[in-house]
Amino acid sequence: MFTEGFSVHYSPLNFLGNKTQGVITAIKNQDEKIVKKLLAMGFHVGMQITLEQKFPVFVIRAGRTRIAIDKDIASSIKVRVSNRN
Amino acid sequence: MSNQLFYVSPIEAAITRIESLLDDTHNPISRRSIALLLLQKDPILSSQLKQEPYFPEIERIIAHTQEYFSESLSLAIAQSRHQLAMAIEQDVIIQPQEQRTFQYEWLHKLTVHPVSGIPILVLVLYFGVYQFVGVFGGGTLVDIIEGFFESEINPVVNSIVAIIFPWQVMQDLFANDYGIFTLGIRYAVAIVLPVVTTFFLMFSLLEDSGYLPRLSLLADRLFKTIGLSGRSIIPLILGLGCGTMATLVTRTLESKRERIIATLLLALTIPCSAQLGVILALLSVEPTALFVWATVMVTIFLGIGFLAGKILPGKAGCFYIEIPPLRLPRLQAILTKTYVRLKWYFAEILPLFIFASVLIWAGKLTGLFDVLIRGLEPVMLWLGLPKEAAPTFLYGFFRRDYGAAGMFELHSSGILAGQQLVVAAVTLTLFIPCIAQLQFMLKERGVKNTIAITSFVVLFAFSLGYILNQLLTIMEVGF
Repeated sequence: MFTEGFSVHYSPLNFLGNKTQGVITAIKNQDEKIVKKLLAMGFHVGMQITLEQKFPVFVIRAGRTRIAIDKDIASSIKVRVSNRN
Repeated sequence: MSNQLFYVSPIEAAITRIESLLDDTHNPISRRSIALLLLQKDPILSSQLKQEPYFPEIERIIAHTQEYFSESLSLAIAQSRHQLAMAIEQDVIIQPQEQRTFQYEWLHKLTVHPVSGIPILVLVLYFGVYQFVGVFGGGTLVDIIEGFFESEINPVVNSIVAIIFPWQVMQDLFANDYGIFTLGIRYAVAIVLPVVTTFFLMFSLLEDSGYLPRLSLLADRLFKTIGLSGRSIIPLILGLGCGTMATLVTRTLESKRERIIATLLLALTIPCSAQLGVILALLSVEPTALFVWATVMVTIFLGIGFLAGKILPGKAGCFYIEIPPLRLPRLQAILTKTYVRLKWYFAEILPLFIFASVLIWAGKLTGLFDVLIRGLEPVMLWLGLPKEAAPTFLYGFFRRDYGAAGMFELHSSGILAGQQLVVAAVTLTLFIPCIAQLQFMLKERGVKNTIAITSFVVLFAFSLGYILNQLLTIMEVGF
């Protein structure tokens, strides 16, 4: 609601390139269970993450936590990119 | 800084209102916790309180609170918790600059990069599972212990039992070819113990080093094509050790659909280590035969998995797994884990082995087995096999490896040769898992699914054996 008038650039994780760093702006999936799993593994809005690998699955890292997720789950994480490599 | 967690105001307001409605029947849990669980739609607590007169009011409060948020309430609650946890973490942790990266980072990169990771995966499976568990555990160790049983223990048991029971019928129950001690216990100690011990050792090692999640990561793409996710590689690899144990482990899979596909593939295609050992020994004399067997098994594994993934209703399983840093495992931890698992495993499996011995005994005594064997004989001829192979299939059901061992005897006495050997090996591998695995399927998947899977496996095994026999004849493949 406070972002009105600003342009916020964010993109689903699966559209980003390797080594991209960014901040999670939203976690949205029709399947509530997936959102809960991501939260349980410690991934939440406002967190700084790095996309390390895209194949065979997506590997993302945040702080000392690292997870592997498939494309479907990756697309449910929206990221505001802070650097592009 | 206070560690008391306060949520955003609409949630706090809801908590206060729900707290005032609750009575004290749930004493051991604080009212605040109950209110929070209800806001997160905890299914157990909701069903417990459903009958209470104040429950509709609670539902109204929850619905009203939800209106403040675009995301679900449990998400909003979790968000607050995470933020506090992060704040506490930042407050108390000092991280020296040089330790910012993980230990063994280079090794991690090697194991997850597809180009280097897949060869590493193949090496780990070859040396860890095939050489250590299959060849060393299932071959060398089994031979030593089994030999000891045959030469030292069985004769003693036979003679003691002969003294105690003058009747042949009772003697057969405890001793001789299929007795509780001479077959049941011997199988458990001489065949299963070394195989499962080496397997659990290897599995604990892989687990403690943190390699298993990396294994599932690499396998995910392949497994997606057969309706599974990378996670299922763990039970399927366990299946190469013991299908019974693997069937139990399928409960760790995410969806019912995945569990059914994994159970089916375990029942149909994955040979257990005891079986694998005998089949490899038999067929390795003929490289072409081994090649045909392996090709057929891999094709069926992929084909049936693909079809099951298409046919079974529901969405393909999603894949997520936490990747812990790679660590040097501690020997003490591995040994303790292996010991605890072995103890649990034996408590589960030993009664089944004794039960199988008793069943064989009863089957032979009542003549039921003779009827079944005579019924199987035409099927054997249909497959192009000698009718002497029929008992092998029947006993194979009681111990999967026993069937393969029976085949070994048929081969050494010259009854089974060349093409027949390949057809028999393929059919036996596909054929029904042993009785122990069947019991675990019943326990884990229920009667309906078990009957469906079992009938499919039996039909498929024999039909494929028939087709393979015809094909090999038509193509004039010589062995």
